[in-house]
Amino acid sequence: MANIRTENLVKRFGDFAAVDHVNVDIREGSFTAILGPSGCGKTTLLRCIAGLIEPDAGQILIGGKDVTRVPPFKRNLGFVFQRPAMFPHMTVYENVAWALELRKWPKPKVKDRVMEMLRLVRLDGLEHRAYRQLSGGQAQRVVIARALAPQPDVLFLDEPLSQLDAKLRDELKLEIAEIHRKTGCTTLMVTHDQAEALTIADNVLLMHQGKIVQEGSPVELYRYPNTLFSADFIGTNNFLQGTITGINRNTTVRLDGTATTLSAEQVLPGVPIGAPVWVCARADDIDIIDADQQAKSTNVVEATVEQALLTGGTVIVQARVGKTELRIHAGGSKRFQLLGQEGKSIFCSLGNISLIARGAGEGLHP
Amino acid sequence: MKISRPVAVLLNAYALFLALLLTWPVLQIVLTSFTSDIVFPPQHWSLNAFNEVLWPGLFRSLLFSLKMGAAVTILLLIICLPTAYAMERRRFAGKALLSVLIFVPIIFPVVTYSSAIRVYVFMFFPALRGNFWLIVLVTAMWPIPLVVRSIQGSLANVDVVYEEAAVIMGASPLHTFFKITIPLIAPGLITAAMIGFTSATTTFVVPFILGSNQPTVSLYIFGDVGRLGFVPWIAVEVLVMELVVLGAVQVLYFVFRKQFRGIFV
Ligand SMILES: Nc1ncnc2c1ncn2[C@@H]1O[C@H](COP(=O)(O)OP(=O)(O)OP(=O)(O)O)[C@@H](O)[C@H]1O
Ligand SMILES: [Mg+2]
Repeated sequence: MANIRTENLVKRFGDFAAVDHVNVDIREGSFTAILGPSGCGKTTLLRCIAGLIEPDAGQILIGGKDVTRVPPFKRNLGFVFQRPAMFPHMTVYENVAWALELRKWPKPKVKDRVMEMLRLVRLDGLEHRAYRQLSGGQAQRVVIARALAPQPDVLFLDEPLSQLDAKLRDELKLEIAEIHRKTGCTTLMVTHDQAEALTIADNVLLMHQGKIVQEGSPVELYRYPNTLFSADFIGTNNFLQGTITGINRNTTVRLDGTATTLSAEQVLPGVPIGAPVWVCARADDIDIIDADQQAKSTNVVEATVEQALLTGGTVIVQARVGKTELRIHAGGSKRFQLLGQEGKSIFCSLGNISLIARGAGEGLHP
Repeated sequence: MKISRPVAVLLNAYALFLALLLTWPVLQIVLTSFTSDIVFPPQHWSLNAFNEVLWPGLFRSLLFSLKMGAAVTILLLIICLPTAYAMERRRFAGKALLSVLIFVPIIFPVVTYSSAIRVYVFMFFPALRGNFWLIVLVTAMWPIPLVVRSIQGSLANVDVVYEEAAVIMGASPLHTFFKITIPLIAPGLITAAMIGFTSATTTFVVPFILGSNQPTVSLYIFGDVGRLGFVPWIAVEVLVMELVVLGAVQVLYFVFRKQFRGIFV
């Protein structure tokens, strides 16, 4: 177990900076997810930290030790790759034992450890299988067991589930979380699936164009995205223009072009009263309420229904507040009342909203 | 794909023709070995030819050829394995140039560079005339491009992810090369080794021009043909040579195969 720090890490391919001055500080024993769209540099960052590619500038410290120029085979790490990587010329047992035999562990100790690891990934009983005799998910679990067997200081997972089908992915996702809980090994996992990151990780690094744009716990990231990119990536789908009217422990905002004021449980540092902001609301969090419940509900706005579509579990409502579109995913028994209400006025509670500072002339949604 | 009947018949006839063309010399050798005169079709079956062969001389030359084959194969692997690895896995200055230059030995007829070596090397180092290792080295030159390309092809088919996994787990690059890379390219390596071994055991030109002290099996048979013309027991010698080389290649294959069982089963 060890913590990880990078200082101004840079990796260029030609003129293009795939990793652009990245500073991370990853706590010992944590489960950190590097989240970001395809091509943003996640794999490159991970491979730099693991030593598989040499950075052009910056420093990497693992367990407080500067390993920037240390070759990967002297770093004591475990790595699970984006592509299948179980050694195809060895059995399950031989794969998991490989790193232990390399370290010259005595035979009985190797056997105990291999069996312990196979139990951990629920592959006990399959130790004599060859690569061809395993499913994709089983082979990936072999690689996880193999990586963990020699007790690495850090475990790296590069989209370990991307090759698997949805059902297996959900299963293995929870298993990885369980494995982390049992071993306590500092884990760094790359993913472009926000749900995956939010489910397993206790710390999320959001990456965009080679840079870390936000860092925090899944809840922080989910509730308080700090940029339009973050909000959009985490799945926020409503951006309304507002202006700050009051700041105490919370911030009150008036929606532009309306008399409606809303309250957000956050204070944007350095953003004064009168400043323009984006008000972010999730379509899933919005509740349709009756007119007489306005007083009991938070952040109520009046909207005009433009379209309501039944899609099984939810009714997707396209509504309008002032001059802004508002998308609502309505659940519950009331949702059917929305069908055929085009042109009517409804009240909705936006629930927990979050704010993002907005440039004065900045246009609508990114 | 569906092909019409006349085309299918034509294709089959062509395949049969090719098969005959390729096996005819072998069949002819086998037939001639078991007759007492050279006529076609053979008329008098006989085992006389087997009695007339000078077995000790033939076996000495065969043994020498096998020794050369083994030496050339090992030398080829020592030269070609690192070259192919560098060409496929590393970036270095002059890589493009090397990938062209490497074809030189196969473009030049073996006679030309063997003769050049005979003239210039022996001019300065007369003691090297007939030297076993010089002959081995020059014999190894011709198959180099084939062997390098064949190994390179195998390497291209093996994902680097296995090598990276090994290195991350604590294996040095050298250890990784021997324990991961080589087993994974074993099928290609065996093919490469068989190309080298076969071409070296049956080689004629290089030991002929460089004046090998001990005749290789091809030289030995050539000597007999020169003295006696094509008589049945020369067919026996050729038959024995083919069987021994084929047998040796099979042994080589099985030894390798056992070594790297995991990949073949
Ligand atoms: N060896 C390379 N040479 C040149 N460009 C590269 C190389 N490796 C990666 N890149 C570029 O660097 C950028 C980041 O790549 P990287 O593989 O780190 O992305 P990623 O975030 O892991 O994406 P994904 O989610 O698709 O795996 C991409 O634009 C990619 O094209
Ligand atoms: Mg990637």
